[in-house]
Amino acid sequence: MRVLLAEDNPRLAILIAEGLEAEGFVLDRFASLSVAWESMAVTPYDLLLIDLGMPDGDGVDFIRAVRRTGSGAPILVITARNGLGDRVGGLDSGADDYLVKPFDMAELAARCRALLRRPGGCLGIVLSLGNLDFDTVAREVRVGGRVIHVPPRERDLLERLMRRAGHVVSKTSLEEAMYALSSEVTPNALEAAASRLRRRLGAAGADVILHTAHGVGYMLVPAPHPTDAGAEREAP
Amino acid sequence: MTASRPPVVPRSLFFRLSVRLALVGLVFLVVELLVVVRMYVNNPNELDHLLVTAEADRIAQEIPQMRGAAGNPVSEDLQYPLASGTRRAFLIHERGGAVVARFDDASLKIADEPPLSFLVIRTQRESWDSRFLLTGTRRVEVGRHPYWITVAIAGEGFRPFVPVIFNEIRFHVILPLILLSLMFLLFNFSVVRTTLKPLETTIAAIDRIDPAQVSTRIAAEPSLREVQALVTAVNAMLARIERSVCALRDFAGDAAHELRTPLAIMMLSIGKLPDSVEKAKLVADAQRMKRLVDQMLDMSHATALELAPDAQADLGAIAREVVAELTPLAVMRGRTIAFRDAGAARVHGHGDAIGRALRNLVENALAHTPAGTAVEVTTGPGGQCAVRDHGPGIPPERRGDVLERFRRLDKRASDGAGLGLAIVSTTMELHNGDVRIEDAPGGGALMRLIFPRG
Repeated sequence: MRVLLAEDNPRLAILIAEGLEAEGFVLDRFASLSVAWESMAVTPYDLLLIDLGMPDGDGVDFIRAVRRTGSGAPILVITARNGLGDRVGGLDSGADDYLVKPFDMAELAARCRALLRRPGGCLGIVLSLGNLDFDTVAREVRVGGRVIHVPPRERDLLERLMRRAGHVVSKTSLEEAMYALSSEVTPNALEAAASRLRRRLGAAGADVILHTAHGVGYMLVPAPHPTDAGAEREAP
Repeated sequence: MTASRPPVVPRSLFFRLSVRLALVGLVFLVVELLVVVRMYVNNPNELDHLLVTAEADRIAQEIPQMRGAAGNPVSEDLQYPLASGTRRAFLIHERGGAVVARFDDASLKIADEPPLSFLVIRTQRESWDSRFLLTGTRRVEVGRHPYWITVAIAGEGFRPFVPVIFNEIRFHVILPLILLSLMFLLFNFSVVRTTLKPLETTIAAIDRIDPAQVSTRIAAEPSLREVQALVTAVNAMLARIERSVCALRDFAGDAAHELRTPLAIMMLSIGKLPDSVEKAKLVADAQRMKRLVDQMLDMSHATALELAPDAQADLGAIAREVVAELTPLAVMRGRTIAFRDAGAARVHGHGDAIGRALRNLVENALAHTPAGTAVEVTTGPGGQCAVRDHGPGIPPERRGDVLERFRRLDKRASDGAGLGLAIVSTTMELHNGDVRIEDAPGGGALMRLIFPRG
């Protein structure tokens, strides 16, 4: 996985590069957008990490320019701005996700993997969370390597949730995923499907939790390990 | 400092202009009087003429009585001359030369010589030093009959003419001038009023400026240069205020970059350390600093914020987003967040600012609700939003305090800078809204954001 990193702070750039290289990515670091642009012309990157506040231009303009070349490589924006307006502006320009400084390595690596898993991304074959795997090509769901039966609608639901694992996925987005082809939507259909999917995953022994964000949507998270809970309590 | 002084009621510009214009009118009046008096004094022939005419007019008025009466037809009043200190005789002829009446002063007698029938007016003066003798004839019409009144007046000096001058001034100067002055004053009032109108309009426009909207400008009144100067000055002041507000906001953005990047470096560096109790503490410290920077930026955003007059925000959509954003964190800590849409809740407001306020409110609730419980967020119906937790609640006597900056009920609580509720309170102030802290039924704190209607 070849990743372009445009970040003007050398220490931060080195730390990000080392962290992602430890996760198996190959990184090219650039301290200016112009040099990054030249490099893009000769190297096909699988993922772009762009700091919005670069010394030689606005990252948003850069992203627009990248998109105008027809490049479909996922773009993750790294920024110190946290306004909702900035976020929408960044995403409108063609960025795929948004990470506000400061962040930890696990968060950055998870976002990068999630972006690469998206349709068109390079890691699109198998989505994994805990012992749960989703093969997006074979449309198979496996728990601990064993294939379990999941009906099509619940499978679409699960795919959408796994692509955004650890984040709340809105009801609207989930309903779109389930009813992409048919138009019969009953008010409780999503709730019923989510509840059947939760039982099915539980029965199959998947160590994930399908969390209901009441009134908003659903979120798939890995089941907490007892050790994690211990670490959490220890914090002062 | 003004409190110790007696209150000074400032006079209105309208009053001042009117008084000054009225004074100018008065000065004109006096000047005109002086000019007229001087004119008469320098022209004795005119005065002679006027005195004879005045005496003749006075006599003519009594002609009807004289013709009706027998014996001495001259009334008591007519026996004395108009001008004191003079002697006067008169003789009245009718058509054909017959004498209607005559009055002779002891030492002054007019020869009975009928005037020529075509004579209309005649005045003659004879002077010896300061003494004079005036004789004159005036043709008058009384009851369609012509009469010729011949008057002789003997006197000395200037004094006899004073009543005539006074009469002249009264009828030919003062009365017209008073009428003219009244018209002038009325004109002044209306001119001053209409001239000051654009000023009043501008003042009203300045009054209407919402202090929260520094981008507002006053529309210039193009008709008057002075008013336009005022408008320009006020607009320039507004521009300066806007620049400083923007500078403050830019500073917040700069501070974000300056603080967040080193903080990111710190967090990534800590992440590379081998697992240990020390590392866990450092991670927690870095998290606290991150939260502090977040809150300080939220606070500076909330302070520098301006609300566009047509800004609309959907509380339901904002709350959904905030809940979605904070749920992963809540679930990681063993809490949940429930959202309930209790009806449409569109308000006049700044969506980002309300989002930041609500995020701080929910984070605060998450910090106080015990593990295994839910923070409940409800929006609507109407412009309201409520966040409820299952913690110990806030005692009534501390409810005012917690909305201030850097106040925490529990000093040992490690999460946040104590700015969360101050951000909420500042944001709601900008929206002319209200933060209410109540006890939730069944325990816990219930924080309600109330937005004004419309």
